[in-house]
Amino acid sequence: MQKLAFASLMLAAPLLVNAAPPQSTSNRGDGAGGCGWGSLLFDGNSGVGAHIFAMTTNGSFGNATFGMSSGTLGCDPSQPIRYKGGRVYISANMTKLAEDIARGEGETLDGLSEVMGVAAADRPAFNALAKSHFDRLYPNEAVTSDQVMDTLQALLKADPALSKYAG
Amino acid sequence: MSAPARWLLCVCLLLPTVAGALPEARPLQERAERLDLAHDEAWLALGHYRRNWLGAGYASDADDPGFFLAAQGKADPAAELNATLAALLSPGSGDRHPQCRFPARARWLQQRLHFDLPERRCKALAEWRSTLKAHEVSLIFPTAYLNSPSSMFGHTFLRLDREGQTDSSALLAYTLNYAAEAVDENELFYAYRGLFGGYPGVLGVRPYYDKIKEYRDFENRDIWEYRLNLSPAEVAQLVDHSFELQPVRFDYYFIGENCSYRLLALLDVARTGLRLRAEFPWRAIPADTVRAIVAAKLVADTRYRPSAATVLTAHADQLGNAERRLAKRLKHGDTSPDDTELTRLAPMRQAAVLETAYESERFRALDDKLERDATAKSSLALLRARSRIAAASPLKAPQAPAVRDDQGHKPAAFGLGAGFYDHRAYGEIRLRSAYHELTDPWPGYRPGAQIALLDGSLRYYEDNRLQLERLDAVNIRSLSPRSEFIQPLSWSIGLGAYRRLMRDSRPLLGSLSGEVGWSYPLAGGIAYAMAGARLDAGGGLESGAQIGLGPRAGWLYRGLGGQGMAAFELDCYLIGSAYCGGKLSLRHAINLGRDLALSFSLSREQGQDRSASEVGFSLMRYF
Repeated sequence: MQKLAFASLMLAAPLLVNAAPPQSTSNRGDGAGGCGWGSLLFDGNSGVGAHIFAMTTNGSFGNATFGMSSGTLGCDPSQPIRYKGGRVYISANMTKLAEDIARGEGETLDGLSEVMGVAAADRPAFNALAKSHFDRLYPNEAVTSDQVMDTLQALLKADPALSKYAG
Repeated sequence: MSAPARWLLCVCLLLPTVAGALPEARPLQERAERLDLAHDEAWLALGHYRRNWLGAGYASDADDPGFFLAAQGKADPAAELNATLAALLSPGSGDRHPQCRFPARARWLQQRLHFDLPERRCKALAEWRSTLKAHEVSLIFPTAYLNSPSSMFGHTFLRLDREGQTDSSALLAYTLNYAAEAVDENELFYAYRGLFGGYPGVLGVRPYYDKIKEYRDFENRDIWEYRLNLSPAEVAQLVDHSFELQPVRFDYYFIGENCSYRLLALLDVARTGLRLRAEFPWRAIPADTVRAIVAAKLVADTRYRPSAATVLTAHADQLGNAERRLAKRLKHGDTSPDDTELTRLAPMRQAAVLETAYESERFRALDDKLERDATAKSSLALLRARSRIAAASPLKAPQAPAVRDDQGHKPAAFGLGAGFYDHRAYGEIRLRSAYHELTDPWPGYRPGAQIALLDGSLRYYEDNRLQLERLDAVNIRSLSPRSEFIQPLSWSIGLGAYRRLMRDSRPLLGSLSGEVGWSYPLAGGIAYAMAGARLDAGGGLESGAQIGLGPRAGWLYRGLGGQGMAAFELDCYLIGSAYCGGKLSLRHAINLGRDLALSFSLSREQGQDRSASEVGFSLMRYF
């Protein structure tokens, strides 16, 4: 019934971006920045069927989709869009991103650079920074996407060449 | 408030002002009538109109009153066009104004009738355009996935590519995906409603990385990407029309008005004259719609994105035997990443082993639907070990198949054959509705995957007897070879009618059958061994119905100008006169072209106290 109501809501208003559905922030664990969903590493593996079902049917026009660009995920409004985009992206790509960071390269890691506005020339340094601090970024399997983003921000700030990309 | 009610209200509020604007709209409406714009292909596409089955009328596929400005708009393209013109010229502003609500219609009408509309601020539309930032459009085709019946035929959606987009930033592009908004958790309801239009279909927007995760990682479907050659103006029209469609409900039918069909409609709007929808009046199999899009010369180039399972298989093939065994032990946690057996390898080889072990672990976690806790710790340990090796990975990505999924034989088949059954000559006609049988030409199809729908053979014997030889309503087989890292079950399921050799007759029996077992790669082909069961029913059986159980084994191979299969099956019947019957058969087909094959078959059948041999050949044409 909740899904049905949600679907009707979606149908009724073509662009609900500015009227975020209540579940977008209240039901999901907010992270440090009060933004994003705080996904777990290797999330989505228990009860995959149900997970996919929810993802494809319920969220066809979910708030995260447009929240990424318009910043309606309840984030701290003083944060730049790049920063918020990075949080949403990491949250949505936790598993694949960890794999790419461990390898030091990959499409999903490039996607993160793209979201965070890292220039092509700085990407090798960005990738190397993330790879060499894998243990800090992923200290244990219970790490959430918000914690990963916070660590990444700290690493960027401490790096003279890359600090300009810190949010 | 639900969507229809809301838009109805909106239309009602408009009516008085529409009447007031009529004098202005009248000359345009008259001009549109003289040009017969209401029956112009582009207008019919914008309104999703199709000719009725009976008579010359029209009906729109849209099942949402909010999509129409005229009361009888669903059935009357002319009334809808007049109402649209009147509404566009009505006073007002904001997102509810028809000029903001129907920008693709407005653009087309302005182009054809040469009139100006005032500048209006359309906030929602502007946000739609600026968020999607579409510069080019790609068609995305996740291929078939046999273990899920609802995705057997593949799926298609559109990706809206940004200007200057690279392969890595493509992940961030938005996709337009038309899907059923399913609210039932029950599979049975899901199938029923899917077939008979019980679900509303809506257009969804998601980032491409979400879709990749869904298809490549969770469902293990290889993805083909087709960059289309739409011009910027055509892309703009497509984006605006998708804005018109976004809140509109279309009843969703798995077979006809499905995901792929709606995309064809979007492309018909983008480029007038394609008439893609008209090619699929009653059924739109995604692979077929991709074929039509390729044939319409819409494709600029293609790209292959292998599934997680394909990547794992390719990577495992690049390991030596000892490395593969090591990767397997690392995956099971039998060996720790600190073990000297790993650390004494060259760094590059360590990287290869660890990556394959990790990929294998993720595959197992998703495929076996393991609890997160069961694998998270060991997965992280493998990644951590990998991150400590500076070397880049030596593993190469799998190569794209030489023949794409849209380049295989066509799905319907017609066959003409002749042969001898038990020393009597026969001629045979065969007709199949869809899709692919194991001995059909293999290029473009998954090895070991068969889906036959409505497949029948009619025989005429030399003693003037016309007989239905066989009729399969559905016959699905999935021979998925097992390897060290991927260990799926193989299975089959069939429902139909066939002839079984009895003591003194060969009656036609209704039959429901299933098999489950294992397959392995063998000499470039697939060998299988399964346990099977069948339930036969019909007047030809003394007991009315019988259950048979027994083993099945066979080998599917490629070569000798085509492909073939040697098969053995044995059924022991349990009810009534108990006996065991079986069949040994060989079928080989030579591919004479993409859509033509010549096949030979040879079989020996053991019935109740009796046996019969058959030899035959047939020419199969795919269309």
